Amino acid sequence: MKISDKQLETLLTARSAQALKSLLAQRNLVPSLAQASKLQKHINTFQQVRKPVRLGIVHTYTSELLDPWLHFSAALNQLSLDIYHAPYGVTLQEATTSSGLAKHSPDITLLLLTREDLHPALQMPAACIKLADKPGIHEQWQQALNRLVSRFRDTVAGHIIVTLLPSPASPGLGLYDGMAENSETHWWNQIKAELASNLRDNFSGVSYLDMDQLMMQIGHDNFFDMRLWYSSTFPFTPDGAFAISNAVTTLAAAIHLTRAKVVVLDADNTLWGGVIGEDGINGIALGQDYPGKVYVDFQKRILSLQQRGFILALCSKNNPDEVSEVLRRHPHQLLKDEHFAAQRINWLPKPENLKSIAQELNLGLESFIFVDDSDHECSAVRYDLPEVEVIQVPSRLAEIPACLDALARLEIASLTREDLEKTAMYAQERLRRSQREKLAETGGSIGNYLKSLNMKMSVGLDDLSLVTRLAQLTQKTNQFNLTTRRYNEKDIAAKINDANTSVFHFSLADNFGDSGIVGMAIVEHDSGNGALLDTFLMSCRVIGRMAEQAFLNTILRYLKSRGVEELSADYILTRKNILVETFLPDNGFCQTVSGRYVRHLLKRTLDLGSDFPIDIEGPF
Amino acid sequence: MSVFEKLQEIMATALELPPGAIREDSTMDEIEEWDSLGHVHIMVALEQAFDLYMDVDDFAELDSVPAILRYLESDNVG
Repeated sequence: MKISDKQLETLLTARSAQALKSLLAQRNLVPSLAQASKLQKHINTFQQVRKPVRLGIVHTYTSELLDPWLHFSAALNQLSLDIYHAPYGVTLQEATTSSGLAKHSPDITLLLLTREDLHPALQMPAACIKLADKPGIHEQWQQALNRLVSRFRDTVAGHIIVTLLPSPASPGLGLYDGMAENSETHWWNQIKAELASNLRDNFSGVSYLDMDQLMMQIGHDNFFDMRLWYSSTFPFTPDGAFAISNAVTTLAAAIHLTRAKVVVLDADNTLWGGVIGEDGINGIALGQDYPGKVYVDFQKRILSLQQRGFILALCSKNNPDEVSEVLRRHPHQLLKDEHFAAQRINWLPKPENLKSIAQELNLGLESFIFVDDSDHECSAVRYDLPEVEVIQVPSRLAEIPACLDALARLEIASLTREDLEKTAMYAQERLRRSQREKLAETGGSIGNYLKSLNMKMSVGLDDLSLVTRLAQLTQKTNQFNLTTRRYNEKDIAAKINDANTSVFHFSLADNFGDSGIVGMAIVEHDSGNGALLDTFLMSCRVIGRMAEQAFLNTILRYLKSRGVEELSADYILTRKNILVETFLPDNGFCQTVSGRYVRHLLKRTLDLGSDFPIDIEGPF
Repeated sequence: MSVFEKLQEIMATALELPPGAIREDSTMDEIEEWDSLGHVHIMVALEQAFDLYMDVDDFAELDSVPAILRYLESDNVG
């Protein structure tokens, strides 16, 4: 929708880029070029640091006209873009180390392709293609795509976003298309699904951005400008250009800004309408009619955030029994006890509760998003905990379900098994804690507790199938991390393939569940009998269970068996890794004059003793 | 604000130039930033500002400030 002068005035009162972005998103507003330039100047007055991101665009239709929209939406997402456009229509030639693209060394490479770039047969109306020819065409376009993407994967280090322009024309068979055996729409959807699964299976750091999804939100006729398409090979209206720019920069922000991990939700007037303490379980708005439907839909969106890998927590000023009755017994309540990794239902100030949730989950407050309807609570958290991103639930009920949709930090570029199971893992941790407390009450020691868990560690080496997770661990682990070196998926793959580098990982299972891959180490072998511990890290999820000793010990045994006599290691202090300050000296490493630590593998025994509470199985 | 002043502001924003760089007799040939891409930006911005829907065949003819002003006046905008 166009922005009226009055709306523009309101937008110009926004005090942060996020606030401006969500105002635009909630009303589906698209600024004109002149308005975008005014709003951009307004954003420039905020004291917000913008992260620079280098974007390379490879395109087979005009892309330069996107620039003002890209710069504007980048500003909305707290980024500043340095954009390189490859020469028009050139694709494979740009995938060389001497190309302009490679010289630009982009953090993100955007491939703007059309369907005929995949296969020449796709130029013709799909209804003209014989059904029998389709399997052959599929095989050929997949090969062409793989060739193209792998060439770019080998040339540029950053993330690659693949897009395909939807067809500007409506399906050749008209209204009958949806019914036809030779339906263009169904075929196109099949092509896109195959393309996505192909990219998922064969590449890392490559995303497919579905332009049809963006087009659907604003409509085909609002997306394409046929005049510009015929006169300048530029397919988009300002609305279309803004939608694409927003999607690209949101994805860029998801990759380059600090990831959110936890969404903390208020209860009254957030998960349901009304106040449980006053309206009672039968009086709150939650159900099949308006306004209860709004809250059911919002809960569905929140559940899908959990599917994206975010951890949910509940923080409400209420009597615990009343809230827990809704969670357990209300027929339309979708979010139950097991969906929340932590709950604070009490009368303490919310900033205090957020701090204690952060402590319980062992996660930093900068990874928190706080959602609440109350002006008072929102400003209290903004004031006391500026590192927490605060989202106020909109006062117009119909806008509530989509109020978290525009947040870049809730977008994800990939999903690992661990992401999907995260809340379950935190729930297991809650059970472990209560077992420990029970044992402590009966006088049991921490050793007894660890023994009672029946822990089994599985250590593996150089496993290419784990590249995504291992890269993610280096990106996200801050506390138990000796060197805090961040690697992307391409770096990790290169290290795994390098014969002189060993990439170890481990998972830990016990009576309560399996942690998934939670720790990794990278060892660089020199030409002699020495090696360097480049990286040693562990997710805070398994801290306090002696996993680090078990993992280090397994690595040392392996290195010794390969003839390594001396392992060097560094501890690089950061704001967050004080936890491991003494890890090296505590584990037999001696500090040398240069500050580097060294452990001799021949001098001392590597026996952990029969009392050690973890069974270790390794491939070696 | 006269039609020219409004046009001056629109073109300056579209071409990322100071308004003074757009004169009442400027032509596409004289202004370096007014290339084919800049031209599309100007056309899109004109449509948005004056609420027009222009014919693509008009795009090519609107290659100077006087030509655009004539077009806007003939359409009774401003």
